Amino acid sequence: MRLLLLVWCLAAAWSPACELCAIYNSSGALCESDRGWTFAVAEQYIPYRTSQYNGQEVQFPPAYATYVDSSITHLVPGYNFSSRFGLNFNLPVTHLNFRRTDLRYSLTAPPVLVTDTGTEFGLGDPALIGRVTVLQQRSMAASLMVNALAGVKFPTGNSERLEDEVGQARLFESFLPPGTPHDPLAHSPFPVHQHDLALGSGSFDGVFGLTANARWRRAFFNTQFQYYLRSEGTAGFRYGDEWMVSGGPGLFVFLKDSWTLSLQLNAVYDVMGHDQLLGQISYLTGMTACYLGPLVNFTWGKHFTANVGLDVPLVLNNNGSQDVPDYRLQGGVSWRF
Amino acid sequence: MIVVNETSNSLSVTRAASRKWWWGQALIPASAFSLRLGAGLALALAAAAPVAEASPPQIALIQPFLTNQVLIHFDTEANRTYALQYTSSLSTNGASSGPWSNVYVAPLLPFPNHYVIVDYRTNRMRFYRLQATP
Repeated sequence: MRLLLLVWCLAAAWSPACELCAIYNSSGALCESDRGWTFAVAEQYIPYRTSQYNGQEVQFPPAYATYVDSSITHLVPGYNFSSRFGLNFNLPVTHLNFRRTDLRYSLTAPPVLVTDTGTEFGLGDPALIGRVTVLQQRSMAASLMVNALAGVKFPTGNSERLEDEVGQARLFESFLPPGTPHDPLAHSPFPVHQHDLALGSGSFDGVFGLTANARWRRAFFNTQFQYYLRSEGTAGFRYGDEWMVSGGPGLFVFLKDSWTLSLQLNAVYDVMGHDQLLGQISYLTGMTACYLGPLVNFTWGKHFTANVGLDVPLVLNNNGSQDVPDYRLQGGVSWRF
Repeated sequence: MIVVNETSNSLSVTRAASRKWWWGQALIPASAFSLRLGAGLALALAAAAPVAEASPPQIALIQPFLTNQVLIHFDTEANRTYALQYTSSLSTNGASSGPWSNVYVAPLLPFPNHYVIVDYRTNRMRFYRLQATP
């Protein structure tokens, strides 16, 4: 019975890719059925080293090469009030290693090509997310669970880079005759933008999700829907809304008394909307992406779970000039007290 | 060729096509190409697909800016380097009587872009040309 319960918990586990994912990692893998504290650490590493323009790979001269290696560690303490209700706090710690080249406009001289190499490190925007289990059916052979999640993201991360980006956009706009149609990010043709390096958005954002997990004997299927509702933040910059659907079939490869190991095929469909600044939509932002990759879940005893996954991009339809992910590597560990 | 006449604060553009250089002779008929201050300008900012055949480089607009500056607009095509140059005097046959100097060299980008270049109105007049390579 204990083993089956553990299996049910693992079937709910999923690797963290963002706020909800990290929350879900802790709440799912650590069994909502137990009241008490949980803590999870989740890491996502994404190298953005491929430059694309409107969905097509492009090559810049080596002197202008750009990249961002993004490492975000989510620290997720949580508390389950009961098997149906839980609350989690997600604190992201962001480390961005980057090389950025871009034009910098001024009122007094032609634009200057500036290259900036360095790191951004600090706390991102934290989120407080609640969970309600809306459907929960269990038997020895099968289980089905549906969770609804909702929360808010707070504007505490450093967003100074957004001020600079909007300032440059405003300056470029002042160069144009009144009424000239233009994109508000037209001043920044290179693929790594200031808004890509901001640790925070300066906005209160809504976070919503729905997760479903089904298991029959050793086989299981997980699926998640997430929606990030953005609001206007620092300097009037508004990141585009984002929604994603992910999940796939899996199988428990090993079921031992003290540990289990499962393997899942995980697919992700991710749509990032256009950003807005200066009261205009930037059609040089946003992306639709599809990823596919393996996800391995491990559990040891009743308290510890771990997972690791790899997302390989199949489709990356970006707008404008952007550096896009080469792959996404993610993993996490969880502990139930 | 773009002629900026600071005395009258009027702008006129004339064009005589050449393979790589776009400059002209001062007495090209105005019907060839003209832009006047205040003319509408629609910028296809980084929206058009790269073209297969290179077109002659072209200055899109010059406009006075603040008290003693001008703004020079031009579009660039993918994988070409552009140099905006000026000279202070031309002879009657359109050739520069002095050297052409770079105002700005736009970096080679793998997609189209639009540039706005700030320059100072330090002389009575200044002639601009736009060079593209290759």
